Amino acid sequence: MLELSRICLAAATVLLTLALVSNVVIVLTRNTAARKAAAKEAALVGASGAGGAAPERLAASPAVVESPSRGLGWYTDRTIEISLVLLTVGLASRTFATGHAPFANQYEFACSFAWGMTLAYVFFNHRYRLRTLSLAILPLPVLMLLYAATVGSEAVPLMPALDNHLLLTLHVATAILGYGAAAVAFGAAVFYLIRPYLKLRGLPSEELLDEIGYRAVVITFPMLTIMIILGAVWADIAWGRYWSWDPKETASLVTWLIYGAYLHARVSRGWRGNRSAGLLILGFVAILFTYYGNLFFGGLHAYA
Amino acid sequence: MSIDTSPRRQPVDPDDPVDRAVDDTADDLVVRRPHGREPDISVGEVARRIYRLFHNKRFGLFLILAMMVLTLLGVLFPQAPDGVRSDPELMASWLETVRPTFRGWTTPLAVLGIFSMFSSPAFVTVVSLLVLSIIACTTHRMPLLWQQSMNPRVHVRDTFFDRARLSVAAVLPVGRDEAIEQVRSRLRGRRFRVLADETTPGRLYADQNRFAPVGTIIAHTAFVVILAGVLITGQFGLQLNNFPVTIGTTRAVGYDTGLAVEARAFSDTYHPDGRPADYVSELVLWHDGVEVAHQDVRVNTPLRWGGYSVNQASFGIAAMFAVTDAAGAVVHEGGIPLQYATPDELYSYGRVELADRNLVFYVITPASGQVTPDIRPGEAQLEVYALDADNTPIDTQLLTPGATATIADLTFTFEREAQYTGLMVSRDPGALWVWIGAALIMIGTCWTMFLRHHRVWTRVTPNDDGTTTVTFASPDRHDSVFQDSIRTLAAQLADPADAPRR
Ligand code: HEM
Repeated sequence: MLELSRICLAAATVLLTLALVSNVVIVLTRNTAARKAAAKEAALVGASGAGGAAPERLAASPAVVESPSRGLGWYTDRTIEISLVLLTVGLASRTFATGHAPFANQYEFACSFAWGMTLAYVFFNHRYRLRTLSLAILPLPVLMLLYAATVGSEAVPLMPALDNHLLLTLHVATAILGYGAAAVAFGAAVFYLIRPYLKLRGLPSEELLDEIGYRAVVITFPMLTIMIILGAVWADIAWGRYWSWDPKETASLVTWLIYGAYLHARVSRGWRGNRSAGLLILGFVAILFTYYGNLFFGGLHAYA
Repeated sequence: MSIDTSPRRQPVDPDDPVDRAVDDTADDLVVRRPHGREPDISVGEVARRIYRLFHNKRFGLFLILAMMVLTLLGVLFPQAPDGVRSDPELMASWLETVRPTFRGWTTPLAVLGIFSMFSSPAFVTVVSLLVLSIIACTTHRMPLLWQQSMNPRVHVRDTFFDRARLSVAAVLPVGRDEAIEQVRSRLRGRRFRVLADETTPGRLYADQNRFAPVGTIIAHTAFVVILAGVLITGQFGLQLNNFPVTIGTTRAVGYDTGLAVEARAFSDTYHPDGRPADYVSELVLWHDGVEVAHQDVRVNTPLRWGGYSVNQASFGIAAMFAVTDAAGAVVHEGGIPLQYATPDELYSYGRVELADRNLVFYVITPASGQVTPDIRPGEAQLEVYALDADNTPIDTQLLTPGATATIADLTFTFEREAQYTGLMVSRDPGALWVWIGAALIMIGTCWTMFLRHHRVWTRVTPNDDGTTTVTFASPDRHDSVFQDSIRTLAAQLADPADAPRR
């Protein structure tokens, strides 16, 4: 079982890397065929140019563009979906083998984090065609899986403090869903900021990038909220207090405040646009800091 | 262009795209001071200005960011432990442990509260202002949100249909009344609430999830409730992080609780690789001399009684000592948990203060698994100091179990080694509010984020050829999925047979 899990995770790493390379090729050589694949993206770009113009006229013309034909882009998207399936099988088989959800050490958490990011990518790609954004998003799960490959993948039993399966599972599962969506927001924000300097065709509009970033945070923020609260419930059971300003706990509060600030920045004059996008990048940096933080600081969370 | 006059005055949100696009009264929000008045400012005006500052979104954003920065500093800089901060002497000696890192900056940083960030004046001020700001924001928005869901702005200006973020027109091959009927039934079919614009025939307003904005009120109130709970805990709670009890002994909790914890037994089990698998203490809780609880306590299974919680935290070796004076009276008896480690981690030690004799004594043994040249396994070193003197001991003696030493007119007997169980004792009267707030903030954020208030206005214009143009307009941002669904709806109306279903 553990061997199967390792093979699945390694295969997913390879496929995701290939998909990333393929998307780089597609974006850099956007030709007619690729433009067709990005048709929906383009449709949205056109549609969002509001303000002053006369209403769009619709008379018996379909509002939704048909799905793209089977070019390289189509195969790349399927490759990413297969990677997601492999990651899922890999993590599930590891869960069977170890008897606990795959969140007990750095290796398991890194693989789960990569799974969350890939899941969020596939979800948002289905809605928004993220081909261009994948250049900023996909390196994240790939790097996370490569990192996992460098730390020990032995299965370890849980520490006594972690021995509360349901809470542990929910606490970390919400973290992973939230962090995964945050990676998509990060990608959107990166492109939002560098868009003016890029000379690529078929880039999503600023407005669409802003929307994708916001939509991702709509998942990230509630997930972080639930994660922190479940963590507090757990701390109350394990340590007798719901909050002890432990560095990791506090770092996750910093992350939460950054995304909270982002939600308010979006609706504050002078903070829309670049500054909001900056907060999304800062938020993701804070997530990585929280995640790798225990390499720097000790504290109650030193085991995870 | 016709000029429409709004039939009723409604609260206006200058940042709501609808209010901006729909109505020019947003400008009325700018307060203009009439000419010729005294420059003096009334108390009411001061209050109004403060209120306006606090419900200003940018001020709120600034406070959230300020809290974020201070919290981050609290992560980056080491924080003095709980018991230490309130005791100037302990704090001073704790600062010495970080001085090698921060050198000359240590004292200035300490004065700024960097090492006790979460109880520092800066942090407390920012959080208090944030709470005030949230309260002001929420009360300020409440009537507006109520209005939007119960009594929405049904009427919009003509220009709105051209300027709105989403504006789609469909030409229906039917007359005006039939077109209105089709639009209405299509929208209802998609679970829109549909209201007719009474002032302008042929206009409709439709919305979905109209109670979505209520979620923000819940989320904001929840944050205040959580902080209130934290405040109650801080003011009225009890938290003893380090409460070691030697197995076979009973220790009073103190702090007027009337509680005492008896540790009857302890066991620890390990994984084959040596990491701890489980540790269990058999505890009895006494209240005013009456046994009130008896339970095995593990890491995730605390003992709870009467609002108190006793948690398993750690364990280690204790030394049983009896101390008697020259007359034979017992000065100290019981276990001394050797819960501290020397900086080189070679030794474990415990400390007992005999305040009325102006003495303090230390019991030192090799740390678990360490071999030390001066103290052999099983032996304990006893060091006795005067409380108010410098660092030279009055005397130091090595004792084997059963041996005695006489120092400063006291007889010290090292009875035997024992185990201690490290417990935490807490009472948290604010926790209930924290949990209520936590539940509300989860509900509130999910509610706001997953349900969106979708609004669309429609206008029907008959054409000369007997067809009718229906225009849909919506100002809402960040919703290309919703916009697509309106486009699809328009396409279906224009050509029911051909348009794709969504
Ligand atoms: C840390 C404390 C706070 C939390 C957890 C919080 C939470 C939230 C959430 C979840 C939303 C929904 C955002 C969206 O739908 O996009 C929101 C919106 C909002 N918040 Fe806060 N908030 C906080 C502090 C504040 C403060 C201090 C103010 C006022 C100065 C404020 C004013 C607002 C306003 C006006 C909105 C509505 C934005 C809109 O119209 O979309 N919030 N808040």
